[in-house]
Amino acid sequence: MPSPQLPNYLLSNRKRLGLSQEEVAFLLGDRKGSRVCRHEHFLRVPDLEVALAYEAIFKRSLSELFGGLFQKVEKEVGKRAKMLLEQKSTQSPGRKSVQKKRKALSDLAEC
Amino acid sequence: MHTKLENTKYPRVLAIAPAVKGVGYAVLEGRDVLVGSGIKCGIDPENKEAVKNVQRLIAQYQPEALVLEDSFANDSRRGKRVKDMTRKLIDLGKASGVETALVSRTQARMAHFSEGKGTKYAQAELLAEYFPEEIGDDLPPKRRAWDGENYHMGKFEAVALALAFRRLAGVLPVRVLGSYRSK
Repeated sequence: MPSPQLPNYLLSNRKRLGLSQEEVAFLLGDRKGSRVCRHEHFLRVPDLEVALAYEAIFKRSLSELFGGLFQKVEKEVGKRAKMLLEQKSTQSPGRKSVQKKRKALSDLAEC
Repeated sequence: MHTKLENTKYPRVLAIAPAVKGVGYAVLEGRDVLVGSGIKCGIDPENKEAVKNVQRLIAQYQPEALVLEDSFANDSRRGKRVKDMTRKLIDLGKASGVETALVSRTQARMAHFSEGKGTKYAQAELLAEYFPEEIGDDLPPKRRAWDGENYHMGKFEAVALALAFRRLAGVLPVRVLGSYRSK
């Protein structure tokens, strides 16, 4: 069983580029580094715009930067996909659209 | 000894090493991904600051293994304060539910040098090459006889412990890792 990932890897990526918290804050449009500090220490989850800014700065995908958070969300989506698949199991499998849907849900449920 | 760790292919490791102004730490994930390292400052005769700092690190990084220098090993030249700190950190590991491993200096050298022998600085040089982006820039100049130990060396010692644990755990029997010896 693989170890759960950290909620995010912002700190290690920032250090990889040799940037300070204040410099990353500036790139995000902030005056101080306190918001970056809170994100790095897993105290706050950034909103989508800020998360995309991190992706632009560090050139890493969101799922890589926010590995642990992505794992958690992926697992929850998988559970709900399984429930939905069970609900749809009574539908006639003949139609192509139904088959496509079942395949998509089945792939999600495997996560 | 490490039954919980056996079920996890690469447990997240938090390694702690004594440092000039406090403790050095390193966090390793996967086979050899260094996701965090640094120095946590704070020294007092009763090691309260060190324990507080490591407690915060455990809360932040949620490691599956806590790796410490075996200051009780025969090859250790650590003094009373560091031995006391090691005991307190072992107790902290137990209280936090984190498996704790002790790695001696000799074991760390075995993990990093082909003949098992090398200086602390040579080890730091190897690690700076191995993790150039993460700690490469922090490699201090070589210490001269009259210099005190550089501030950053504690971080390199911690990285050395973390990587040694990872390498030794897969290669040598678990019993090679030290265990806590009561007073």
